[in-house]
Amino acid sequence: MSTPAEVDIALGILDHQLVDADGVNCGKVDDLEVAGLDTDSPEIVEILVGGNAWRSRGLLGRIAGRLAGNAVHVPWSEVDSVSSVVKLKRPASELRLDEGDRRWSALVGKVPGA
Amino acid sequence: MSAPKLPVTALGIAGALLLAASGCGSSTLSPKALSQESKSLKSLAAEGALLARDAEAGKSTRIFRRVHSEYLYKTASKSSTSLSTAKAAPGAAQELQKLTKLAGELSADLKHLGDASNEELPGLARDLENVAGKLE
Amino acid sequence: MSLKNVLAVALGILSAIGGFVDIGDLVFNTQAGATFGFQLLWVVVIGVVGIIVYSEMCGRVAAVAKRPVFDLVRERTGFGAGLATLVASQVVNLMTCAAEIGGVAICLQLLSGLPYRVLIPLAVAGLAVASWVLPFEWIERVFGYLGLCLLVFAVAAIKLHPDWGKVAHGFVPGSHSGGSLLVYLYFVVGLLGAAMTPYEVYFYSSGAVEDGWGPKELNLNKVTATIGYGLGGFLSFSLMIVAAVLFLPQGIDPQFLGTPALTAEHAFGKVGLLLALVGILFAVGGAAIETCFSGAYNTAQFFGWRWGKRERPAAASRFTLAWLVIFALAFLVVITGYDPVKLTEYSVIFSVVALPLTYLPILLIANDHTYMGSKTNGKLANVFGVVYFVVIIAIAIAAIPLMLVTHGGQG
Repeated sequence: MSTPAEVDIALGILDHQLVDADGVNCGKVDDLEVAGLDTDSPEIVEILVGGNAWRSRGLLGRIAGRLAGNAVHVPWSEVDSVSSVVKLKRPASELRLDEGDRRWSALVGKVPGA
Repeated sequence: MSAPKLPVTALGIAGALLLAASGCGSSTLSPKALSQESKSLKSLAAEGALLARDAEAGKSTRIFRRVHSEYLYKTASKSSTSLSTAKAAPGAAQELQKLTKLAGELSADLKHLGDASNEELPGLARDLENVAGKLE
Repeated sequence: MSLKNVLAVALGILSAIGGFVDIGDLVFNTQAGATFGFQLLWVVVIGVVGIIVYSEMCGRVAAVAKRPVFDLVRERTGFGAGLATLVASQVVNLMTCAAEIGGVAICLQLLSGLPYRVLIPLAVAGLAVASWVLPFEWIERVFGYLGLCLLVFAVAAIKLHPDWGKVAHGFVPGSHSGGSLLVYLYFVVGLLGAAMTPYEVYFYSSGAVEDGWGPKELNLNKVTATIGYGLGGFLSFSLMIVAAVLFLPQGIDPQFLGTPALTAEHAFGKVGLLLALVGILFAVGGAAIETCFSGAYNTAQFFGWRWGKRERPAAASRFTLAWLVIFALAFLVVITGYDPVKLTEYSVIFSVVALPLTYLPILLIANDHTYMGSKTNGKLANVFGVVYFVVIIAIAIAAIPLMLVTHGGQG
């Protein structure tokens, strides 16, 4: 990633759906960590998902961010491809992106037929 | 001595509350408000009459008649209560009196409609149609 | 056409019915008929064409992009707009869901005679169990098939011998006679709002993904949207016509959910009454489920969670919790005892205000090549889409002022 156009494209994946290696939803691109913006070769370092990743997204985001826990950091190297969704190389469980559903599945699982 | 002031203050507050209470629950109804009330009562009477005629013809079920007439009755009864404590704007006193009387009749008829026997239905239907006819 | 295709179309049609005629349509169409006779029939046509146009777009997005429309709102219109849409749609959704649940409880009361307060938790429990146990297609079928009992109103409309000349005249938009212009406009807004309520398109769109639609289903989408909502419109006409024939001449102002049932009772006796009540029960019950799921879909899709009835409840646990919580919150609203019919009048008007936020993203996304490839809107879809969007903006602005000035249509 070394031209401004490519950085635009990168920022264009903000708010897009993240999908893991098995095609399962695992959150949205809530924020991006970009390094070297003022150099010749800015690079996306990592994707932030959930939790307080919303801190930089305006007033509502700050309020929501304060209520939530820590965001999950996904290194850019984990990204397999970028189309209308951002596909990851590994399953969500290996990247700690399935914690949300796992945390609640114990409760939901108590009901028969879950 | 500060003690005597307390009863005076208490009386003052009580007096104010009494005045407020006497004003509460009774509103002054303008001719327009009375006309709205009349329309609403007529609607309840007409609907009750329709239900009664259908029941008379064996078209309704006892449960539906009981439950639906209860909804009609509750609304009519609320109107009847508020009309009986309302004051009329100048010139509308006669109209208010007429409406209050009809609202009372209507409530009684609708309450009766819930569990009236088959023989009582034609009479009830006629009563409700009469009330509807007397309202604008 | 193979038998499998015919069945697929039939099921699609049914899913559009179960929930199209919901408590909002019942209340507004019946009151419109009782107040203005046949003179508002043309508005129903406009509303139905609008929902067909936008549902077709939503279905196409779901089939081509394989994602529901709301899923794409955040990435297409931005975080702030997406969140605003989510919050607005959830508030309206919750009001609507509560009104529908109240409607189910009233229907059960009219059928069983049990007390209303007892039937509210029973209604919520029944709907929650049905939602939990039944697979998606079966929810569509059960509520769709049984909602078809509402056709008794169409037959009643014929039996009550309306003046068909006047009925035909009612399909021509124009000046009205009798009653205030402002009240007339209030009903125009309310009828359009009831026909185009946001949850309908969200549910249709997510439902298409649940049903696994792909590019092969593009024609099915057109047919389902047209015939399904068309049938719903036909039922709305019937409600308005029977109210015009039976209520307007007597000065009956429909304030209760049982009032429309009187028309079927009058025309066909006990059988008509029972068909009407069962039809209303399942149509409104189906709508309760659709509004609840619509809220859960939107929440899950905004945050990027796993969602859908096709997932095991424990696997998509946050989505599952979302719809359970929505039912619970709706229950709390209904148990306050607030009249569901009055609540409906508010929820329809507030839906109207939220319509632009709902429909603009649909129009944008359906035109976006990134998602749609070559299947973006054709000229016809865009002409209708834009015209309707202008109409939507106009009624969104007028809705609350009209409601206040006319005291909710009372004049």
